Amino acid sequence: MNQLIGKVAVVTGGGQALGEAAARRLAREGAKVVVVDTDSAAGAATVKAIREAGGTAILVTADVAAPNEAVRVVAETLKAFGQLDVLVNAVQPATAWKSFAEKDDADFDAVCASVLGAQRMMKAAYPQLRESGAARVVNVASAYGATSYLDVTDHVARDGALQGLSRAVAVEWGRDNITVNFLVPGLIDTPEFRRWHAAHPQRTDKLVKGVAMQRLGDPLEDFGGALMFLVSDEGCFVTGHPVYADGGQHLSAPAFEPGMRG
Amino acid sequence: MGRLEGKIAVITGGTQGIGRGTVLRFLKEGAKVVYCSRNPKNNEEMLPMIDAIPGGRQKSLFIAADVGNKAQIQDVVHEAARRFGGVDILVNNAQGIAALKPLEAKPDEDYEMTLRTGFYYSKWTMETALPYMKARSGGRILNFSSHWALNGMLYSSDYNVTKAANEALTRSAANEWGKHNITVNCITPAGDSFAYRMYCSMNPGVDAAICAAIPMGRMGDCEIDIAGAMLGLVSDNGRFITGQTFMVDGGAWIAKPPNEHAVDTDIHAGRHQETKAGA
Repeated sequence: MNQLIGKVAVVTGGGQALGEAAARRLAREGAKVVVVDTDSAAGAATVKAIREAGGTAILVTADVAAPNEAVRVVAETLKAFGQLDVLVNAVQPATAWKSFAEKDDADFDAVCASVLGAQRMMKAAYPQLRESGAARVVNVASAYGATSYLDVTDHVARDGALQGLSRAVAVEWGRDNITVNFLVPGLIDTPEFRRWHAAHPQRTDKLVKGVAMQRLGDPLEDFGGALMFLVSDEGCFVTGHPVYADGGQHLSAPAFEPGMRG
Repeated sequence: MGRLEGKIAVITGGTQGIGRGTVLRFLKEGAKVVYCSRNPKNNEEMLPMIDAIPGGRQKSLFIAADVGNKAQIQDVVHEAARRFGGVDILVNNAQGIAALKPLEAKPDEDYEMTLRTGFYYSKWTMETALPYMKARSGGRILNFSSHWALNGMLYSSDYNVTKAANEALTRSAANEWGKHNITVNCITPAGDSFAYRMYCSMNPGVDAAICAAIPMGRMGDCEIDIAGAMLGLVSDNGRFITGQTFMVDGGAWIAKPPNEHAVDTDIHAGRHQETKAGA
C-alpha cells in the first residue's frame, strides 16, 4: 500500500527467510532497500526478487558484527541512496539444537555475535536515523521467542539481550523521534518450518493448531504486516516494545516436545 | 485508498480525546463509524470536524448511550449492523471514573461503577459484536488499559482493577476467538486528551513531570499518535497480532510515572454516571 515511499531501509540478515520477507515487504511499500548478508548468493536472491517485483534494492555483503563493517554498510547506503530511515536487524544465527548441558561456548558466541551486530548497526546508523526525523529501528527475535522450546537456550538468551538493548536504546533515542522495537515472530512459513514439518508432520501440525489463530504465518503478509505496523506511521508512538507477530502463540501453545530437533 | 475502506467500526466514548481522535482517523481512512457518548451536547463540537472529512457525515452515526446501561450499549452495536451492514471493528474506549481516594476509603460503589462502565460494558459489546464479526469472516477488537493499572497508581484502585480486568479479558477473547480470525488487543495510551488535561488542571506541575519521564518527551496526539497505533492494529498490518497490550505512549511505560497527584482529584467532576444495576 505504499506506506514507505521516499524512505530508505537497511535489512541485515536479508538473505535469510525473515530478513528476506522484511526486505521484500519494505520494498513493496515503496522503500529503497539495502539488503545485507554474509551470504552473497542469498542476499542477491532477495535483491533479485525485489527488482523483479518492481522495487529498488542493492546488496551489501558484510558481517555486521565484525569491526568497521556496520560503518561500511551505512557508508554504502548513503552512497547509493543518500539517507537512512529504517533499520531492521534480522540476522538469525544458526546453531545446532542441543540441551543446555550440551551447548558449548561456541554456540553462545555465535548467537551473541548477532547482538553485537545489531548494536554496531544501530550505533553506525544513528546520525542518519536522527537526521531522518522519524526513523525506525526494529530488532527481530529468534523464531523461538514466542513460546517455550527445548534445546535453544542460546537463542533465548540472545533474545533477552536484544530486547533489553531495544528498550534501553529506545529511552535514549526517543527525543530524536526514533522508535526502537523488538519484533518476535511466531510460527512463520519459512524453509526452516517446512523442514520441521517434513521431519515431524503430526507434531508440527499440533503446534500450529495450538496457536489462537490456528494458522501458520505468511512471511510477507503476517510477519511483514507486523513489521509495517512498527515501521509505518502507525507505530510512530510505540517504542521499546516487544511485538509478537505470532497469531497469539505467546498466549498458549503446546510446549515443544523433546526429540523434535532440527 | 484508505486503510479501512469497506470496514465498519463501533467506537465508544467517541466525542472527546482519544475516542474523538479515533473516530476522525478511522473516517479519514475510509471506515464507516458508529460512535457514542452519554451526552449529545458533546457531539456538537465534533460535527464540524466530521463535516470537514469528505463523506464524513454520511459515513458516521452518533448515538447517545450510557456504556453502563447494558441494553443501550448493546443496541449501539446492533445499530451499526442495521445502519451500515455489519461490524468489523470494535473500540471500547469509554470509561467512567470516580474521584481519587485512598484504597481503604474507596466505597464498593466506586468499584461497581468503574467496573460496569469499563470492564462489563467491554464484555457486553464484545459478545454482541461476535456474531457480526463471524458473519464478516473476522474482526478487530481494541480494549483499554492504563499505566495506572501497571503501576498501582495512588488512590485509583477501582480504576486500576478495572483496567487490569480489561487486559485479561483481552487475552481470554484473543485465545477463544482467534479461530474466527478475530484479533483482540489492549491499548495503554498516553494521550493529550480531555481527561488528561482535566487531570493536569487539578494537579499543577504534573504535566511537566510526566513528559520529562517520557522518552519521546511528550504526550501523544490523539488522532496522529494514539489512533495511529489503533489503526495499525485494526487494519491489514495487524492481521497476525493478537492478545497483546500495547503501550502507545512514546515509551512512557519504561520509566514509571510520578505518583504525585492529590487525593480527591476528580476528573469527571459533577458528571458522574448514575447507572444502577438493571437500569
